[in-house]
Amino acid sequence: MSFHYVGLVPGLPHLLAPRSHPDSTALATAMGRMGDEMHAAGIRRVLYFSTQWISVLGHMLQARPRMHGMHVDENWHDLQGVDNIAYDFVIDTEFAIRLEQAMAQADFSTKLVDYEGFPIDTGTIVADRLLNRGRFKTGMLSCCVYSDAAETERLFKVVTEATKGDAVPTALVIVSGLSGRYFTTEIDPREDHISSPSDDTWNRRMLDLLVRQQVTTLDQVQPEFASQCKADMGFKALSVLKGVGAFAGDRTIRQLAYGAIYGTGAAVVSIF
Amino acid sequence: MVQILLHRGDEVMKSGMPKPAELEARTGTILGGWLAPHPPHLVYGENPVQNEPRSRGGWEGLRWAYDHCRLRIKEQRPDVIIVHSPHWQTVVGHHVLAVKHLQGLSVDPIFPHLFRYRFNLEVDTELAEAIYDESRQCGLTAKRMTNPNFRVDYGTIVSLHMMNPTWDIPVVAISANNSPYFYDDDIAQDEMTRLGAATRTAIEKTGRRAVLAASNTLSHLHFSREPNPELPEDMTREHVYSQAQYEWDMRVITLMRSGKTKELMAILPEFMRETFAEVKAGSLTWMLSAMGFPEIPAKFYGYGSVIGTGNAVLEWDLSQQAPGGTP
Ligand SMILES: [Fe+2]
Repeated sequence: MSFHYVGLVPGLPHLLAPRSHPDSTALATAMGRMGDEMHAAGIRRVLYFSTQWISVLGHMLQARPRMHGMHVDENWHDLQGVDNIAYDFVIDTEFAIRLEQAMAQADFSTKLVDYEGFPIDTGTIVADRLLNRGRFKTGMLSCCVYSDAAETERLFKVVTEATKGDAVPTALVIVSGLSGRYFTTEIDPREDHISSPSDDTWNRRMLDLLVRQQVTTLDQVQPEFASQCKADMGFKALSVLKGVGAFAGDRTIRQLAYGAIYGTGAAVVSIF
Repeated sequence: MVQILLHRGDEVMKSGMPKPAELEARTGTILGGWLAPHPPHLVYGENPVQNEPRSRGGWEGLRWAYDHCRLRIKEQRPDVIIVHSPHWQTVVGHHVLAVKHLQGLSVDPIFPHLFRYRFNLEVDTELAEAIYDESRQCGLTAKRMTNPNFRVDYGTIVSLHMMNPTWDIPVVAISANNSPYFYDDDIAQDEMTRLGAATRTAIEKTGRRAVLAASNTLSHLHFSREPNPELPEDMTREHVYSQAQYEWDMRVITLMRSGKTKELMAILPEFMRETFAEVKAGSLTWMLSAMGFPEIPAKFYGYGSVIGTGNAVLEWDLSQQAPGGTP
């Protein structure tokens, strides 16, 4: 594995909302700790792969050197305290170009995007706010909705290969939830919980399999988890983890936090 | 007199039905509704000052179809244009733009090289509030979008720009709640039917003369790569995605043109499954429901492919309805 650190984190804005719910607080605290751990381990660059940055004509890579401004989520535009989310990204453009070239050579349809006002997704912004705090250069790779498990795994093998021998220690952060069954009506944030007990059981089972690196079982149950629990992007995160070699046997996988965000399942997991 | 064809959601509708005295006080009218697809390529092909990228044209068949809409809007001078857009996706309820003035830069996340549009629009907030109120009355989860920093989605902007590029008529934009993707088709269609009914009641109560826009593409399977990245408007590379998809579009348009709205509604679920039709997002159902599912022939102005998807511009002109049938 050529990424020095891999993280799986949620990306809903509730994580930035002050005192919204103990679960959100625990998840946000764990993400802050993950950022500290990455920094202590010498990480200087983070590549984000967020299931909320979706693309349909292949994969996109952010290539604008600096992106800053105020973000308003299309759904959570009135969330108390986080209706306007400030962001400031320093993008490692050379890194983006290098990844794009490697992906294109491997016959992936790719596009570098460098536009003022390009809508950065909520997930990437939330993750960066909690993890980065001005410490890491960044990259962003889109999630192509038509890339299936096999293609996603192959893509991340290519991306991993392209980062080998890189002088800048780099982390990959997958921004994705687990079960995706939102509450579809307004709830009191203090009463948040996983919206279905069966989703909760499934999430815990998947996390347990992850931590114990039971990749064969994970592969077997992933389709059922995806369909039973409306898993975020079909839990494509598993294919990413396989692609980067997270289960190669030389890594420790730790669950740092687990909880609910507006009915969905969320976890902070580190692979280091 | 208001003549309403009730479909699914009848029970909820009945409870929200107006009393005779209320009806007397109403003057609001829906002048008509448009199927108003929103590929950003249409704005790109036109080169308006608001859009930064420049083109050599392209997709004229669709772009010029919108000329009929522009003309009708100039003739009708509606108080408001109301659009329902699949690219403002909300997971908790149906949201309505409720800020008086919104401006900013809207960049299409899929086609940023084609669409970077400086929008500047006036919202009919009184009507927006009424749609919000009526939606809640109908038992729907609804929300007002009151954040002045909100970035308006490209679906809303493209449809509105193509319909009225001078932006001199206030607008209301309604989000596409993701219930069609979260639940089954029946629940979703029911939600959109109720939202349409709520929209109509709000129009009537506020006395608006309104034009509606369903911002939907028809068949939605598309090429996996841009055919000519060097020249997106290369029309030698534009064509329907498949004969099957084309035939489905023609079947649906034929039903629209012949006023067979009940049959249209009946085949929509199959159409969505077979062609990934964007009408699944609910905009068309919302609009037809607001208009009382009129069994009148829609006027067809144009059909065209955009990276393989099927798009048509059609008008349901309610001023042509038989007496007594005008909602
Ligand atoms: Fe669309």
